[in-house]
Amino acid sequence: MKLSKKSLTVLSFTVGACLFVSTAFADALLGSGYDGLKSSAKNTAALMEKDLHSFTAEMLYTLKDNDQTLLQSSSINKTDTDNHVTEETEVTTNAKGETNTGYSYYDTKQTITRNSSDNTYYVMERPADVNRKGPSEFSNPFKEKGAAEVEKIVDAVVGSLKDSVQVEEGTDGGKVFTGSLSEAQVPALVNAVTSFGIKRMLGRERDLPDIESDIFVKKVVGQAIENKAGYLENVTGEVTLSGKDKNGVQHDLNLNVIVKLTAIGSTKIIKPDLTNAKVEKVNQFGGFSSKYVGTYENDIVMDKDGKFVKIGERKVVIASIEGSKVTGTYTETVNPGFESDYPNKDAFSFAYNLAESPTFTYTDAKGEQKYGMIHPGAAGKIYFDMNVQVSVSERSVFKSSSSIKPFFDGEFSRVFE
Amino acid sequence: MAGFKAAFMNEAVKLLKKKKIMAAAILSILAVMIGQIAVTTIKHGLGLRIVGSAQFPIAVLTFVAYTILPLFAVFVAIDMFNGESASNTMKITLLRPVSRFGVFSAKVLNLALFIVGNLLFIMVLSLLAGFIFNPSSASLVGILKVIVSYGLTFFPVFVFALIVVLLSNVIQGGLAVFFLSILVYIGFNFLGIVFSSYSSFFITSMFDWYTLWISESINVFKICRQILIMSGCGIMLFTTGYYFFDKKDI
Repeated sequence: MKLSKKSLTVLSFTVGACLFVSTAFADALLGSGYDGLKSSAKNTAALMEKDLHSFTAEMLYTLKDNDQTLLQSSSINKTDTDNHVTEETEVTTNAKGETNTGYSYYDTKQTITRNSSDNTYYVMERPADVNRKGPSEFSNPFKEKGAAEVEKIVDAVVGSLKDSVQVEEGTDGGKVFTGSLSEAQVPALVNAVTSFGIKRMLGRERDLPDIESDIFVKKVVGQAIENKAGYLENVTGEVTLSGKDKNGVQHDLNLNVIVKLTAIGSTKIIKPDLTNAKVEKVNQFGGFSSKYVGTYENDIVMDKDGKFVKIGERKVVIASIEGSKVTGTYTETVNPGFESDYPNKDAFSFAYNLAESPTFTYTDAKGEQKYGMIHPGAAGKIYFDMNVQVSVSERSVFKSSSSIKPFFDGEFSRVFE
Repeated sequence: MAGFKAAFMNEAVKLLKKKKIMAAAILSILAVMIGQIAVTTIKHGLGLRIVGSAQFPIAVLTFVAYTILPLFAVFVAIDMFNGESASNTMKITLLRPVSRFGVFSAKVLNLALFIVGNLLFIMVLSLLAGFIFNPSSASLVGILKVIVSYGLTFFPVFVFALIVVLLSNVIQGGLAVFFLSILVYIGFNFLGIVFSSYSSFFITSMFDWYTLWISESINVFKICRQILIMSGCGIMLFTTGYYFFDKKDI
């Protein structure tokens, strides 16, 4: 049978169209390994936020330079979302083989930290009236503001590399995501940006070799294992960067990261027993405690006719510190004959609660409302900052350099009588 | 197929006489040169080795595959169909003892040859530049990867050129076809990014599919799907293009 030209055209068009549409749909439905990994990560984050009750996250990272370990750090982070308790143990080993162990424990009432260097437990009580987030509340990074936009940008940057993530069936019914990129596959732009960033970073660190030329990303390898329950329980990643130092010696810097999620639902956190241990209480407010009650002075010194002249003094009286409540007064006296050099004398009393705000408000000599802060300084000294700017929305404080008081350095010394 | 051979030779000669070939060659040389200058500057200025000698041609390819190559494929395709209709030379070709199918396939084959030629030219140039400027990191595997990458880039670009062929047979004005092609190109790229999970519907997202082949772990299923998508799309476009070419009144 000979097909007519028209039917041949129609037939071949249909075959082509069917092939194209069906495969493209299949491709879209199957998605890439990257998409699978992304949804798996989202799922894990969502589960960690509430459904896991308790879990242990182990993280180990190793930085090597041509097989010589420069830095190794392992941390075990236990979290109990039901009881709002977290515990963190971190062991760091540097290139010389010195190890440093850090331990911290957080619950709703207190924070306990210990450092291997002095074997003391530092205990910080959490004031009950502070309305802040519990220590063990894991915040889902995919739900943060702007996360969706960031995701789109990352997707676009990843581009065709999406397909270098492969999915395989795991042994226990889960999934195994693997991916590796060799030198040729790392896009030139990504390579340039990463290498430049790392070069800048290396320049600042003293312990790391100074790599100067021929820097490039040699290899990127990653693996993630999703278990039956649908969360990632084991993630490993490795990046190798190659370059030459001043003497032309080749260095391969290798960073290896392993993250494991274990003991889900069965993590138990035991509060450290402090009965026989060396304990030091730490005050919540940067060490600002009742020992700071007293009078502090600061001389007003002026540079006049090539000489330093004391024209008066400032006095801060901290009347009381009870818990987080601080009260006191501030006065300025100017010696006779210098009134014209120092016309605006401030005098006010202040009272504020450190747990609510690190700053107090006062009214200055011109009748304007201003903010001030007190910081503990060296023994017997305080820093009394005046005229600071407060940005209420960001809860951050910064000094305004343009309107510092004349002849003012802010350092007040204790007056002992 | 004596008629087809004659038609093919005819088209090939016409293509070679075009100034566009020169322009494509010059722009390709420029792209390679600018790329090499940029790489060398960054290497000496910042101490970063963005590409080794075997990676330089691939870096050039990522750039060229999205710019010069599709652009000139569009030019050549428009010239072959709209240009000849406009200058009334199409009649002469069709008066010869060869079927319309023969003429159409001869033209499309020449378009394919142009893309291959352009790719080959850029590959040789960039390989040379890579060896001259970064001789330290050359390897046989690297060169093989380059050859494979350039060879594979032909397919998606050719399928995209078939879209242009179809457009130039549907629409009369060459200029309109040109702008429409550019719009399609930009639109496909944009949609491929926005609806990234449906990117396999847009042929432009496969311009860098060679990365799948040269990766450490080859994703065979993905490659098979892409081959099927490209061939399906190619057959469909070729047939539709031919249908309109056949129907056209000259």
